[in-house]
Formats: sequence, C-alpha cells, structure tokens
Amino acid sequence: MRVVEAIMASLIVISAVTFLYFFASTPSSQAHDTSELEKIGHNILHDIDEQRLLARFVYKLEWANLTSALVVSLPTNVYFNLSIYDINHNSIGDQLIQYGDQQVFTSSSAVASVTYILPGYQTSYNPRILVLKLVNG
Amino acid sequence: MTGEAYDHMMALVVLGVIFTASVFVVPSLSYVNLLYLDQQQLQNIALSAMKTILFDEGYPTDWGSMHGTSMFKENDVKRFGLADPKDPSLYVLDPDKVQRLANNPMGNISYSKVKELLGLSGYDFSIVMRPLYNVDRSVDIQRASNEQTATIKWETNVSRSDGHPVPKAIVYPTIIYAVDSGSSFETRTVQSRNETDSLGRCQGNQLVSVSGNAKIKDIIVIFRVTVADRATMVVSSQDTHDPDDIAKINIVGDTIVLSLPEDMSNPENRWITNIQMYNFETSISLLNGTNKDRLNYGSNNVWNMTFSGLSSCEPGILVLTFNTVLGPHGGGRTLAILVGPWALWNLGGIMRFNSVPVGSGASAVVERDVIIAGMAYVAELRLWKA
Repeated sequence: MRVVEAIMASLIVISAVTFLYFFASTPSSQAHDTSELEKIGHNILHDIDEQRLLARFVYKLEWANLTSALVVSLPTNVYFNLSIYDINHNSIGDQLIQYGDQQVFTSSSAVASVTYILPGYQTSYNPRILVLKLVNG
Repeated sequence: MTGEAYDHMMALVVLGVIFTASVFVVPSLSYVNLLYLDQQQLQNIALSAMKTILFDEGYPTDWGSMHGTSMFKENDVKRFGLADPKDPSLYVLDPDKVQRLANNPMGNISYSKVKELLGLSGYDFSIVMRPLYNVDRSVDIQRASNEQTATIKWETNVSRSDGHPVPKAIVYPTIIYAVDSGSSFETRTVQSRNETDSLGRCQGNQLVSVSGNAKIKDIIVIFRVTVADRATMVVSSQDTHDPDDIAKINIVGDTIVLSLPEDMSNPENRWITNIQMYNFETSISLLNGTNKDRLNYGSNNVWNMTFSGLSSCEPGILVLTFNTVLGPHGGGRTLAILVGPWALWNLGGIMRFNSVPVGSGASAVVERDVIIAGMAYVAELRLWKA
C-alpha cells in the first residue's frame, strides 16, 4: 500500500515540475531574435546616409551600387531584401535589391524589418520609404 | 510485520530511484534554457557596453587629445566613450580617442583602465576595429642600375571577411617616389584607376622615370579601395625599408607628432625634408623642412608642429620625406618616404584592443559599422565571463 502512495506522491511532484517547466518563461535564442538584426540594419542605413551616399543611390536609381554597399557593410551571414516606396506607397524601381537565397525569407520565422525614411535629395522634398528585411542565412 | 517492513523498503527504493532520476533529468531539461539565459545576459551586457563605447563622448569630452603633445595620462580620463564630440551623428568616432586604444608612442589607455571605467568587473572583453573588407596586395619594384627608371608591378585581392571576393571594387594605386636632384629633393605621384574582376583581383604596372642628374630614391605605393563609394581603405607597400624603422607618425588634433622607434638599431639623425597632406586628388605641402626639423636619439626624440585645420581634412594621409640612413648597416644618406598616421595603419588597418583567449567559453559579439576620420570601419566588441 505504501508503495502505491509513494508512487502517487512522486507522480504528483513530477507532474508539478513538468507543468512549471512549460510555463517557465525562457529567453529567446539568438537565432530567433530579430532585435539585433534590426539594430544592425538601422546602423548600416544610417552610416550609408551619413556618408551622403544613400540619397544619391536611391534618387539616381543606382541599384547596383546600393546593393554592393549593403553587401560589404552587412555581416557575411546576413541576407537582405530592400524595397523602396514613395509617399503613396508605390514601389520604386523595377530591379531587385537583394542578396542571398530569398527562400530563407519565407522559411525563416525570424525576419527583421527596418524602415528608414529619406526626406529628399539635395533641395527637393520627395520622400522615399526604405523597407530593409534582414535574415540570418 | 514483515509485510510493513517490505512496504517501507519498497517505498524507499522507489522514492530513491525517482529522486535520483529527478536530480539528473530535471537539470538537463532546463540546461538548454540556462545556457540561453547565460548567453542572453552576456548579449545584453555587450550591447549596453557597446552603446556606451560608441555613443558616449567620455569625460573630458576631448580626452583623446586633452594633453596635446605631452604624454597621455590615463588617470585623467573620468568616463570612457569614443564618440566624436564635434560630430552630432551617431556611430562617428573620434580618431584621437581611437588612437589611444592602439600601442601609441604618445601614450595609450590601458585595458584595465577601460574595464574599470566601463564597470565590467567580472567580465573581459576585446575591441577590434577593422575595415569592411580585406585588401591583400603585392608590389614588385624593379629599378634600373642608373636609378633613373623603375617599373612597379602590383596586384591586389579584395575580399570580404569570410574570404568571398569583392568584384567591381575600384582600386586606385598611387605611386609616390622621392627624387634627389642633387641640389633639391622632391616627391612625385602617379595615380591610376582599376577595377577588380569577378574573383576580386586586379593588377597593373607603371613605369616611372626621371632625367638629367636626378635619381629615383624611395618608392611607396598606396592603395585606396572603394566599393560603391561606400567604403574606403588605404594600405601601403614599399620595398626599401620597414616604415617603423624611421619614425612613428601621430596626429593629435591639428598637431603632427613624430617619434622615434624604441628599437635603436638605426641611431642616425632623421632630417624631415617635406610633409604633404594627400587626399587622393590633390596634395598640399605642409612643410619644407629646415635644419631644425629632425629626429634623433639625443635631444630630439619627438618632433611636433601644429597645422591649423589639419583634423578637418579627412579622409587624408600624410606623406613625409626623410633624409636618413636606411637600416643599421649604414650605406649613406638617402631619401625615405613614410605615410601615416600610424596607429590605424598598423597590421593592415586592423586595430585590436585586448586579445581573445584561446579556447574561451561562451562569449557575446556585437558588431557595428562606424566612421573614423571619414573612413568606414567595423567595430566589434566581444565579451566573455572572466
């Protein structure tokens, strides 16, 4: 009889521990954390803008230069996909500004997205909205 | 009675088995989570430290240049940060502060001091500033015996940090050569423009010549490499001497500071004949040296001069010409060219502050693109438990 009681008590204790384990909040792993990718994305766009290159690439449609600048600036294992819109959300440019296997963007559950706004080029006000998507390859 | 004892014994055995299993199984179930927790904690501390390093100007705000041309005293730094106080933009670093992290002849800040100022007791860290991509180069200089012509062949290989080639990088090799005309010295430059192929390589050659009684002395090749105008890296290559054998070039604010190497294998006087600021399009002569402009191991082991507005001329390099003896074996006086500033050029443009121990355990790495003196670099902070 005591064996049964002991087993029952043990089962209750194990069930409680298992129950708590599933409810315990666990930190997200680096592989699924997009906040760092978002910071990197904003940092890169800001730096290219700081060197007065981003507006030139976007408004003069220098897509190859923009792609090259992003490729050499981002960490080697990060893939990207950049979309550019005007203020009415119409897509600008028919060329793809991307790097890496684009399948990863659909298969990965951790895609970081950074939005960066350019007010205009030189003296003309003509905003462009840049949406940079990043994923670890 | 026997039955009860039997029950007790069985209960004890079953409980013992379950307890033992729990001791080993439950921690292993949560071990992965503990690792994540540990990693996340390291990552958060690394992010916080990186934020301070890149966005804080430190105190005094000009701590990198506050001592002018005197030796730097690290105890005068009250708060650590590398941000440039003259530029309100984020991720722009003060070159005077960055140079204090390198082994600087005018004094540097120690690892233990930075660790103390950042409040990272219990942790160790390393900081690396590296260019966005690597430029490997080789230069072959063939001189005619009459010293009036020289053929310079060069080859560069541009690649990302993982070894992938960088095609369509623009390489500007600039050949600077010192000419001795007997009565006067001068430096001349020849520049060309080349593009890397799909394997990230490009090569070329250039003939330089002089006439009359002029002779070509030292030759140096500087490579400026850009990708989509975004990143610029400069590396130099020369054949006659090790640049560190002559002098070390440092810029503190608007002041050029030259100092002698610690190794006294070449004890001869170094006369500074000329200093030019070169920004890859034009060169500006800053100084034509006189008898007073010299370095030696006697009373002139440091030379400095202030040039108003020098620090705002970026990106730019200094080209210095010395009248000196090359190497410890003498061989007569000749012209030697040196480019600088010194600190960020060492080891191919890579600057390391503290090293990562071999076989260290978990660590967190944070990388950010930064701008130092107009050039793009990657700042990498690696943090681990002490």
